[in-house]
Amino acid sequence: MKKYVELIKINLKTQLIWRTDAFFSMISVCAKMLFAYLLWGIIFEGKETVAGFSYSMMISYYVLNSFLSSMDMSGSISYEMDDKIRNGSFSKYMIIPVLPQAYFLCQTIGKALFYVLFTFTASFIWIFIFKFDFFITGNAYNVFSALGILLLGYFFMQQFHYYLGLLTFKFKNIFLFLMIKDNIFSLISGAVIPLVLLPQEVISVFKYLPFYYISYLPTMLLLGRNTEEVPQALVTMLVWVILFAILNPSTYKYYRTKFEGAGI
Amino acid sequence: MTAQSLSKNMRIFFMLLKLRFARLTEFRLSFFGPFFVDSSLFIIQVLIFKTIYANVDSIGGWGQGQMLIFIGTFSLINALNMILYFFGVITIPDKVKNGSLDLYLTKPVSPLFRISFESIDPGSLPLLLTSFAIIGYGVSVSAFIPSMSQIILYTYFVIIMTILWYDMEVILRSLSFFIISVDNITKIEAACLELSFTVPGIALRGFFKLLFYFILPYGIMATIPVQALSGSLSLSGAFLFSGVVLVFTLITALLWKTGLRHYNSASS
Repeated sequence: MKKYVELIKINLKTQLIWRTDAFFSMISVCAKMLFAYLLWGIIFEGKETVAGFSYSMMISYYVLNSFLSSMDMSGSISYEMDDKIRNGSFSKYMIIPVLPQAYFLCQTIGKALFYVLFTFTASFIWIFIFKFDFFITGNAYNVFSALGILLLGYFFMQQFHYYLGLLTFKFKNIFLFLMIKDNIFSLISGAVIPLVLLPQEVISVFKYLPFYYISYLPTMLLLGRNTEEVPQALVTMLVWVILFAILNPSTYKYYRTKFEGAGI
Repeated sequence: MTAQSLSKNMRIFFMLLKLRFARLTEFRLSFFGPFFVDSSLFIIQVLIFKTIYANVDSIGGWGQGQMLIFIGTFSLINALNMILYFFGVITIPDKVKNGSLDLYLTKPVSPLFRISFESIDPGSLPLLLTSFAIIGYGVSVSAFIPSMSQIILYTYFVIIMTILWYDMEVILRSLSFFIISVDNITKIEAACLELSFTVPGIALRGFFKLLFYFILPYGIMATIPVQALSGSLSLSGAFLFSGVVLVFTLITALLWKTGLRHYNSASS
């Protein structure tokens, strides 16, 4: 356990070197909120509510969702693995006395711990700049449920991106596939628009997928909505986490023999 | 530019196209990569706005048809950018940093012209079809039928907005002549493009309108052609935004020229 704590510390310290990157990631979070402020500002002109959301609640949705989704730092795992498997430097993860997946998990935690302060500041600075009534529930059940689902969600995303990275052993270059995945993910995770705007049949299908629970449901819970979905969310996420906990080691064991170690 | 130099540049352009095509066919799997990536992006954008329009009638006076034309137009200008110059222009900072710009300065052709068009990407050509399909769908669901003069004005604005996109790409990357790294500046460019492609110019007010219309003019790139097609662009507006493109083209030329004078040639 100690070595993993050290890995988290090292990755946290590494982030301190790239402070400007953190600043620019804040700009990216701000851009998402600016998008919401401008677009929904004009949509709400002359309207009190859209799909049950008031303007303040809609902007609160984007502030919370931008913050929660930006805390998922696992996306870079697949890109890093894609790069390292192709240029041969992935071999270092095969010889160090740490499981590759655990290494990437520590890396993600280290990054997230550093970025949390920046994204928190970026998210909440908007509340003061644009002076709207920020809404968040005071219901303890919703808040703790949201936290539990979030942790499961972040862990699942780490597993999912590690699995995608492993596919590089088989397909050699998954960069384009990852970019297409990012585009689709922005829609199905509720990062661009609240999923409640989608037709009910589509939402019913999404509820079986893990992506619905990564940032969308926790955001809705923090807004005091969708409370009845908590049990289903916990069960669904646990099933997906267990599935990938079985899938990842077996996939790694199978595909690692295909690694050519180019450049060693 | 004289007819002779235009003809020379056209010959160089077609030669660069031929060379690029030969190189790309070596990597057949990634040949259509940019097409798949960008198509997925624009199709998702269409789905997002269709979802929003299922809940509201109009956004800033624009119906669903105009919004679809907006997305299709952005996709069209992006496609032209990807096909013609994107993969060339993005190499400017590296060429300045590692000194390989030297090779371009010694050739009897404009360095910027060669860099811009040596990485033409035919793999993005199908993106034009996707864009026309979205625009066609937008026109079919909108309440207006554009006249011939509106179509000509629309085509004119698509062409000059493609030039404006090029200007902005070159301006930001020409800063590499003066500063060590432009990586973070290109992150701001990506954020501005993402914002302008999800929020049409008609949604901008006050400071943001000034910012995205005249200082970082990403907000006008797809909005103005749509206004031209739907007949809501005034004559003074047409002149004003043509002027904006002209000013940014002049800034591009000036910045590139000044940058070259500032270039230290890292490799020699």
